[in-house]
Amino acid sequence: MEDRRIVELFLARAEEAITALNQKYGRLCRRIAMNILGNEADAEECEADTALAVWNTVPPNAPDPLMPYVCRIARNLALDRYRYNHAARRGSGADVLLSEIGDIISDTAGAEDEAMAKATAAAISDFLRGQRKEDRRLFIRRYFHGDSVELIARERGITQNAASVKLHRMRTRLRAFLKERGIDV
Amino acid sequence: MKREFFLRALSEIDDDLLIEADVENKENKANAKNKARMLPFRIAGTAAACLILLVGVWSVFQGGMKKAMLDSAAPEAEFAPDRMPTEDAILGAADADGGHDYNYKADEEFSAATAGQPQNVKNAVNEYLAESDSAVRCTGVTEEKTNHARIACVTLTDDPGEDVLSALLEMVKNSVGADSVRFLLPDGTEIETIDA
Repeated sequence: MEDRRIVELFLARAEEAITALNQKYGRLCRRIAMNILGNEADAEECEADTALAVWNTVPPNAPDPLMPYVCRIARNLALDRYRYNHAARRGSGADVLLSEIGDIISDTAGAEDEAMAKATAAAISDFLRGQRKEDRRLFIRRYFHGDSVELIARERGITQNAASVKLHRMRTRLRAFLKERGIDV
Repeated sequence: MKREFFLRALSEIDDDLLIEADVENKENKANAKNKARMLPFRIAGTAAACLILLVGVWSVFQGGMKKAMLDSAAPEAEFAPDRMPTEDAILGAADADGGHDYNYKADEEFSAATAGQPQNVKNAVNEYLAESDSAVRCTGVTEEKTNHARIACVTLTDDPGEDVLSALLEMVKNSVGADSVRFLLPDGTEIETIDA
């Protein structure tokens, strides 16, 4: 079903909107959540929470395109769950992601707020646009979707080591880019 | 700024970047599916190509072996009693009027032209037979050597009669320098042996 049609169902408060959303984006949301949480049960719960969150926010929102909107919600919900479970769940996918992010941002950096988040997001977007398409996609697959380096490398037909080296270089370049933009790293 | 905050900030990157990455993801999955679907065909194709290559190599090998065997085999005897050559094969193709032009040579000329060459002797014998209006033809001329004599063996399709045999005796004896001439039928039956 087309995204536009699914949004129309949400706007019309039709129950089949959730079914249609899960059919089209359920697996993607579950995968993103699984990559962060490392737990099947929590990931399924995130998938359900994502559908509910979309129901509660559409309307007034009428997202177009729908995919990034849904993925963003799923990701944030997974990170919330990760924070809640953090003390008990060591070694989950987000732990590995956070350790890699350490190449870009230190934990001793300044306080965050919504404006800073938006500025950071804009800077990251600008940085990614300046990269080669393959590297851009690699970065997003790893740090937005949370897919493992092994999976990404296998799908692209490159070695795991080659993918790791590319990601490391991108993190280094991103850190320099954020510094230039005046973002506290 | 905490690392986790950065991870959350990543959620807010522009939509078109996420769509681009999603498109690549779907392409990779489709390619992986296609590869998996085509794998049995690729295996079958590779196996067929290997089989064709093997058959080709085997054929070349067999051909080489056969040639080597033929080259090492004894040459076929000229005498082939079960073969009945046609008149054209013996005398050559007919002229436009259906006749065969020939040039009968005297003994000396005949000997000089055919000395020691069985094929030429056979041709000459057939020329004479045709001139004599005989239906008999010569199918082969060979030579046998014993401790005491050289015997010319002339294979004829039938018994041409005493007079013709006498004439052929002179021709063959002089051409191959034989002590005797033996006339044979195609199945090896002796017609007559005449001492030169």
